[in-house]
Formats: sequence, C-alpha cells, structure tokens
Amino acid sequence: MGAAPETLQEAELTPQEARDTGQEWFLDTETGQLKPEWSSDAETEDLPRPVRVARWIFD
Amino acid sequence: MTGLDHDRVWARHDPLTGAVLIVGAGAVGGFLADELARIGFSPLVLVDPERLAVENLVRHPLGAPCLDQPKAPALAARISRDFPLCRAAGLQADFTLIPRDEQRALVAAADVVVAATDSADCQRLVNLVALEVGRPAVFPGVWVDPRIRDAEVGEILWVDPDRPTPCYQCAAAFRRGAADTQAARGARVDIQLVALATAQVVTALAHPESDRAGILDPERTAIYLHGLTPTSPGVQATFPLPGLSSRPVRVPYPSRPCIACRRSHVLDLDRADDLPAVSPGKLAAGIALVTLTLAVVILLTAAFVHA
Repeated sequence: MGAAPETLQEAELTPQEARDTGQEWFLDTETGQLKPEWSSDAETEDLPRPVRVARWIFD
Repeated sequence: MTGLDHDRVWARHDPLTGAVLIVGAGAVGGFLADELARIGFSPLVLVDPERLAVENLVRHPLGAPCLDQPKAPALAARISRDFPLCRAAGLQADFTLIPRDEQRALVAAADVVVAATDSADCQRLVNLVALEVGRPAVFPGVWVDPRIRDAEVGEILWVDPDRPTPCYQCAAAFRRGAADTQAARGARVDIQLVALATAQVVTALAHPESDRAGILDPERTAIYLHGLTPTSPGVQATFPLPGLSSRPVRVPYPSRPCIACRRSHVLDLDRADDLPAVSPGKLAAGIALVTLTLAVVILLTAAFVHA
C-alpha cells in the first residue's frame, strides 16, 4: 500500500467551486432556461448566469 | 421455462421487479430495455414504428444482422434470447396512431412508462395517457446545441401522478420550435449515460419503498447530467467542474394551468377540489360585511374631516 499521492490536494474544491457546486437550479418553463435559485445569503451579482436548455430526443 | 437456475442468475443482486412500457426503442430506449431486464424488470413492452437503418448502427444495441428489421420486435427477441428471465415483447407501431383504448391499456399494464422517442407530439401524448391512467412516466433526452458538444448534457424528466409532480407538458411547454426536438448528432458513449441514469430513475419510481428511491427529490423532478467530457463554455455556469456530474433541477408549475395536468403554481386544481365549498349565502354575507365596514370607515373619516 503506498501513500496517498501528493497531488490529491489539487482535487479539493476552491471556495468558488464549492459555492458553484452547491448552487441549486430551476427550469424557467417560460423561457426555457436553467436559472439559479436565489438564496438570501447570495448577492444577485454573484449568481451564475442562466443556461439555455437545448434538447433532442431519440431516433 | 428458461432452463436457468434463478438463484444463480440473481446471485449477484436481488431482482427489482415490475412491468415497463418503453415507447421508442432507439439509442436510449434500446439500451434502457437491456438494463431494465438485468435489473429484474419483466415484462418489458417496446413500441417503435421504425426499422433498423445503417445510420443507427453506431449507437443502437442491435447490430448489422438486424438491419431493416423492425427495432422493437427485434430488440425484444434479442432480450428474450439473451436474458430469458425477462419477458420482452416488441410492437412495431407509432404510439400516436394506436387507438386510444389500446394506448391506455398498454400504459395501464405497466408500472412505469418511458417515452424515449424522436417525436415531441408522441412525448406529449405519452405524458397525457400516463396522467389519465395514473402511471409514473420518465422522459429522457440529450442536449445538442452549437455552443456545446453533441450529447454533452443529458436530461431526464420524471413525473409521478401520486405525489403529484409537474408533468412533461409543464416542463416542456416552451419547446415549440423544431430546433428543440429534431434528431441530431451524438455518440453512443455519451448517450448511454442517459440510458443508465434513466434505468435508475425507473427503478426508483417502481420501488418507492426501496432506498433506491432516495435519488428522487419530488421538489426537483428534472435531472441534468454532464458526461465525462470537457465542459463547453455554454454550460459551465451549470456544470462548473470538468467532466461527470449531475444536477437535480426544480421544475415549477406553469403560471397558467397546464393543458395536460391542469395544475399551475397559482392554483393547484386537485387541491382546490378538496377545499370546502363556499355557499352563495356565505358569500353574500361576506360581501355585506365588507360593504358595511367600508361604509362605517367612510362615515367616520367624513366626521373627522368635518370636525
């Protein structure tokens, strides 16, 4: 059994990544966009931008 | 008789059983059927009007020996042959053209329904019939957009009329243009991720008492998957980390009552039906009380002003 690789530290999330990963989303069914859920402890300008939903279905 | 020792077949995991109707036996429906058979689901009924074409070979579970054969019966035959503990049946038919009572019978015979077709109309119809009959339904899809890699993002919507949850129509009302529904490019290695996740969602819906049902959050009925592929700038806001990840997403009821489930975020019609009715007499008494109160306020205000 070897020691854990030193590079493991690099896999840890940055505070920004941790916040982004914990961000919750909803589907705006009027516009077809994924939008971030607003939370009281988040500044509006800090919220990620909406993502347009695209889609195809299967042949 | 399968000729197989069931105990040995299920030596690696206990079967999770149930009947599933899969409308669309293509790139996702086909692999989904294969997965569900090995989980323990039986019978499986596959419905698809098309025959296997050369263009399908790169991402369909059937291979060249099945070229020009109807996809649903050929796939059902293969599943029954390769895994005889599963009873699989294939119906070469366009679900939208099947008589309504037969559509309802097919859906009613299933514990869970999956719509994995290339027709938005068919997806909506499956949603409608599943709501009418009261069966959970799952709607897998894949994103294709010039700003992202083909099939980089998968989408699974699930609907459970017992909870209840928003329906497919609630979530897909904005998909009016052909650009959102036309078949497009995408590699099997990326698309299969959606089939595997859909199999987990079907299992969870069929076994709500199982710990597997924990993957379903009734407040978040859409699941978006990012494949193990570099993340395109167009979706980095939702998938900030590179590669494989998933996002449960809240699907709100529409602002106006949905044409399929009749629910809206303003008025939940089913719950409104449960509310005690207001009799005309009580309504008239209420209006009279409000009018009297307003009159008193106006008179008092006028008296103060006059004084």
